[in-house]
Amino acid sequence: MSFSKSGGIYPGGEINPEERQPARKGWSKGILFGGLLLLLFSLMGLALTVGPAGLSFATVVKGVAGRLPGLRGLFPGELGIIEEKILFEIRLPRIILSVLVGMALATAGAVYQGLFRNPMADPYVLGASSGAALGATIGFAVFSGRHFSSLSPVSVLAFAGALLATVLVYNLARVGRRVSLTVLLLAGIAVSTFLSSLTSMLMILQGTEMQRIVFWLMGGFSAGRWSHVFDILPFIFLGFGAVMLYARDLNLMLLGEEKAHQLGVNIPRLRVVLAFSASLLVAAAVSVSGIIGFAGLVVPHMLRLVTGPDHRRLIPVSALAGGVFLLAADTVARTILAPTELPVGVITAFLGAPFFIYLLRKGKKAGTML
Amino acid sequence: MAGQARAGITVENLSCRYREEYIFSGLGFSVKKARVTGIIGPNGSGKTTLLRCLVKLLPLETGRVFLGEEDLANLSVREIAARVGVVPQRWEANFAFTVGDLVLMGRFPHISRFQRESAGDYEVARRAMEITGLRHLADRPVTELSGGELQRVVIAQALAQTPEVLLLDEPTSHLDLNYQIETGELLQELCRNSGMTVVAVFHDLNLAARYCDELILLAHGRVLAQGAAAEVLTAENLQRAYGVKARVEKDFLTGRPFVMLLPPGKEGENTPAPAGREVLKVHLIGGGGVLAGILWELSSLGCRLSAGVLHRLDRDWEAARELGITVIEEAPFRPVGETVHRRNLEMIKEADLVLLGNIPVGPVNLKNLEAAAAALEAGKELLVCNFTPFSSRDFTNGKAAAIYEELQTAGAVFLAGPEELAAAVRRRIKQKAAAAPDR
Repeated sequence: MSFSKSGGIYPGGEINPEERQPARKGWSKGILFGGLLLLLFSLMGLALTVGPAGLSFATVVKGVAGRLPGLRGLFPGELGIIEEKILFEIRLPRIILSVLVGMALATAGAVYQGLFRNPMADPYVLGASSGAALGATIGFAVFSGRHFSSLSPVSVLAFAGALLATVLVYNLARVGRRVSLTVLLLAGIAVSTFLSSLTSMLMILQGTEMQRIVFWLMGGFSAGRWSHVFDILPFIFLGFGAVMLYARDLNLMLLGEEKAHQLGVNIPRLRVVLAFSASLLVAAAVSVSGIIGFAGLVVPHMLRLVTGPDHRRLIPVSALAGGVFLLAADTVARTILAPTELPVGVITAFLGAPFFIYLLRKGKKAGTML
Repeated sequence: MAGQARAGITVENLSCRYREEYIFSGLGFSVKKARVTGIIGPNGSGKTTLLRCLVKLLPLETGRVFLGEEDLANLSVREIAARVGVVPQRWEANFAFTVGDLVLMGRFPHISRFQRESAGDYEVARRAMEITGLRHLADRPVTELSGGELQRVVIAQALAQTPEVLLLDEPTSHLDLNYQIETGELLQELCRNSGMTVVAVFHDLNLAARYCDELILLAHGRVLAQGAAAEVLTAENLQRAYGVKARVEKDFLTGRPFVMLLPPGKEGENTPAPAGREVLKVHLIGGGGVLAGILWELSSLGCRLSAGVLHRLDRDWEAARELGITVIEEAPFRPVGETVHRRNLEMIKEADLVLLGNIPVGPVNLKNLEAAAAALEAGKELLVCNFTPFSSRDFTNGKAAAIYEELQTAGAVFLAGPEELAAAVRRRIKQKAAAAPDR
């Protein structure tokens, strides 16, 4: 028997029918996205003008305008064959490739961070990049494959390597239903080191190809061609699309596996989908540009500070910003010591490693993640 | 949330285990629709495990679980989430989702992968926040909330699932007292108004008794008792389940059973003294509840107690009876009669020590004060609890006051508070033990 009264229970806040949640957020969402897009295109334009060939700004404008249907009339005149080649066969594919790889790595980073509920996860730290590198190296060495192209041995093996490393680290780092930060980082280091040592061994055994593989592994876009762009594009679309379809699930994963399950997330399936798509993205990135560290770590983390933890926002915005970041890094890499070119991995590591240390210290103090 | 199909839960022959250890084997019970059912039981009895089994968080070794008519085994995780909401025991927020975002996540099982949240989903989430009083916090990041608010967010999220069944794991254990009550009231309302079936694990037996229509007592991996609170919460059941001695009373306000736990070995009888030790015999004069705690304390100290004259149904009388103490009693409201008074004096004669409680004195029990005076005359040691001024307790127009003053001049020990009382009795026990001949 009970005599509780009905009606409002908790002291509720006043109800304001005018109050609608999504409206104002949509605004800032658009600004961020649009701003990044603008930045990306400006930077792409700028990057086209930069390089050892010393093409003038006017030449570049003329060249680009000549390719765009509506603008042709405004800038009369033709480019020389060499200028044309430099612009559209060397610089442009390289630029686009760096943007795509940046997108892939940042997206994969955001996915790993969500899946592991940990802002320090990234393809490089987790060893997925090393896994892909090993796979690709096997492809190069054993099948003497050209490079990553759709369903070549190189691409399949790179994917398998990334997936293997991801699954391995994930299972090592899981303690019950939780992922321990320490174990995650240690497992990442162990797996990464192990796989890299296998890669080194393969390179030594494969004397003739060694130089090429070493150069590729250091990470960079100097060999970037249109064929690379077209080869990885479908994989990046596929990976990104799958990740976006599961972005809401990923949000729920932040509440812990148990809560996610209670809210209806099919966790085993989610894990498989995400591990597959992230590995796909990493494999695509690694097989065309070698190992580029920390891009997947820094970008999603910085963007999360702006967008908040919602992956449906975080992932697209991170992808854009990842493109901007890697394009900028590559442009710096090829100009700062011109005519000598730095591997882009040097630039990203130069920025990323201190950031990683900062995260480590901050996390130690606050104890909070994401 | 109203007008949904109603579901009860039926559990048949459920076995489940963590690694090698079986938590349950052959568990069976059913939970009524649109009722609050409380699951109680000692730690490790599998309450939380049971809730996990009900949403497929743990695989069943054997047995079946039905949600209404539907076998849980035939439902996907998503389908279950559309019907069953879970409020876990502890849940930490270490990300900057807003309260609104988090509650909206409760809509997950109802939204297709290819859709966004509809206006209807926002409306459901808004309702859930209203019910739990979170409306004004909708745009606040959850990291800024207090523990109590966070708990309400989790409840609101579960309500946004528009579940037929709501499972809660100790929903009140981290809440302040006021929120404990509010949560309990909320659960009852959800049943009454929305026809929701609520199953909640409770740690606090009294909260469970107060807010549940039915209780299930789990112990040793099986259902020890199920039914209305008064049927389940009995001293026998609590002894069997928790291994504790307990007293169950009916709360005089709510009419619900009320459980008081007793330290082991102190229930029922005046504890027999350890062999070979002389026991201090104390006679207490009380009435009106002034002996509350004192009887208990002296009994714990190992004294052999008697009390008188106490009126039947008086608080002190009930306490003395509960402790199994010899009581000289008088009918309610009747002045202490001659025979009873004489028997009281006889008891006093047998005692080593007489204790006069901090009693109010009126015509009905003036004889008790006289008995105290008589004890002193008979050479007994008399302790007088003089915790409050006697003038405020004298309802005899000064007659009692005169006797009371005499007590002091005649050598009674006046005590200003319970600490002094305990110290005095302890001293006396030591003296008696020391005086006892060595054996």
